[in-house]
Amino acid sequence: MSLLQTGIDALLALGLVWLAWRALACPDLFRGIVLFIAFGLLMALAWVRLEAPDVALAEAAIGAGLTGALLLAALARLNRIAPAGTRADTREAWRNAPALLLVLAGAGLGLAVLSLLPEPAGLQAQVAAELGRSGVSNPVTAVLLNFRGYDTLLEVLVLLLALLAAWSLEAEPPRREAAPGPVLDLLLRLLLPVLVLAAAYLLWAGAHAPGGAFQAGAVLGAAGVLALLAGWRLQPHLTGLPLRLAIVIGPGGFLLVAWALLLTGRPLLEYPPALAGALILLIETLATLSIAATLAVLFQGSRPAAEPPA
Amino acid sequence: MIDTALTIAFTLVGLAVALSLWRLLRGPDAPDRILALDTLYVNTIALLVLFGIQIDSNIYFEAALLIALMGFVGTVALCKYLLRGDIIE
Amino acid sequence: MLEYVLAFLIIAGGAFTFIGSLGLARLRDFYSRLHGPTKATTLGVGCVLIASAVYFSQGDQPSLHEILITLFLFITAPVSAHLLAKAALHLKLTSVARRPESENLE
Repeated sequence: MSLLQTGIDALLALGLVWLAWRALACPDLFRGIVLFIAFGLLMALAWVRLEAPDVALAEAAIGAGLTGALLLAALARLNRIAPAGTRADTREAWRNAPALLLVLAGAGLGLAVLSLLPEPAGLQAQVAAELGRSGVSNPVTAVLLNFRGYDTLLEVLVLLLALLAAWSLEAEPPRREAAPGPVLDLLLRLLLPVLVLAAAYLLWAGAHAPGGAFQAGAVLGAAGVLALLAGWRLQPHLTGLPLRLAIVIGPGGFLLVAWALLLTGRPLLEYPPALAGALILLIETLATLSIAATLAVLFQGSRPAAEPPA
Repeated sequence: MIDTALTIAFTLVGLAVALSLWRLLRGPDAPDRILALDTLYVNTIALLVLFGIQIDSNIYFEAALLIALMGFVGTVALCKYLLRGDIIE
Repeated sequence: MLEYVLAFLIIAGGAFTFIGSLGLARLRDFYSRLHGPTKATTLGVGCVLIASAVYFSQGDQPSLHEILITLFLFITAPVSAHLLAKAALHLKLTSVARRPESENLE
């Protein structure tokens, strides 16, 4: 069995390097995106082999799933603005500059890993000792939402910033109402409840098993992407304030909790142990909604028009 | 008994991954690559489930479920792009 | 007895998965290649998932996770295949099949 596992690991390692190289080097952007998604998929498998189920889950949701869809949306927009053939050729020197940066960064990372202690103690003992007071039983969630909650707060805010940047680039051109394809439309009616259920399950499972707000938000966001692909659109009266509320409720709720805790005289995001479980679930639920809305809206690209298209 | 079966299955699915990767990199056309990617998703799910049986833990179930969901969304988005040249018409 | 059933399902799953990918790699044009993964591979992963469901149901409670993935894959695989075929027709990929005799077939 161990020989076989070595074989599978070797296939993964070689496949990853090869896919990464091909994705970067191929001139066809569409092919590059396909290869990038495959890279994310193999990366998720690699995390599984490294016994990191939480990271594998995040990579499967974001690397193998939504990033590909977002890149594709970017490519579609690029084709609208500057059709292939009219784009200026990137000069060789500029194409090599990022490669050089990556090699340098890779070398730095390699040096850092090599300079680690052979058996680093890590923080597992400390996390395990405090796990009982964190409100959850999955150590990864305890670190992300409790011990280092401010990291996650900033991550949620980064997502909001990304959306602001995308929205400030270009307003939505009025779009005609798309006729939904019959197959996707029917499928979506069947699938949407399943996707919502899966997202709720991942959110709930995050307290004691791999899962959590980002994974649940990615699933819900993927449901939104699928709905957009099938030609479904938000009702115009929902694209104004309700959509914006959905987008800011996650970071907003997180900030409110942080603020309320500061007012009671506690350090930043240090929950009282009795309330920790409930507060984490509240923050994660709100964050799931916002992450899902943000990802779906980012996929659509620009700010949806508030008035109905002419 | 199950260990032997797992060894055989791992070998077969590992080969399947290699074959899908080969088609993914070779093409020749865009639909071929999407099909290969879709197959790679399914192969990955099979590998994850086999790992789960091997280590007697269903900790990888969520990852398998997510790959199934995201794989489908990815395939639909890529096909729509080929059909329309734009994903949101 | 259960062990034999499990071993059979696991090997059958592996074999179908392999055959599906073999078809993907070996068949001559896109339309033939579409058959391999969308049928054989789905069946293969279905066998593996059922084996996993049986394996993890041996304890006190049944394991329904796998059924959810199986259902999902069986619902979405035909839709993916349909879209892929549409995309291929749209791009007018060459087929090794003969042209149909009747012109009424569009």
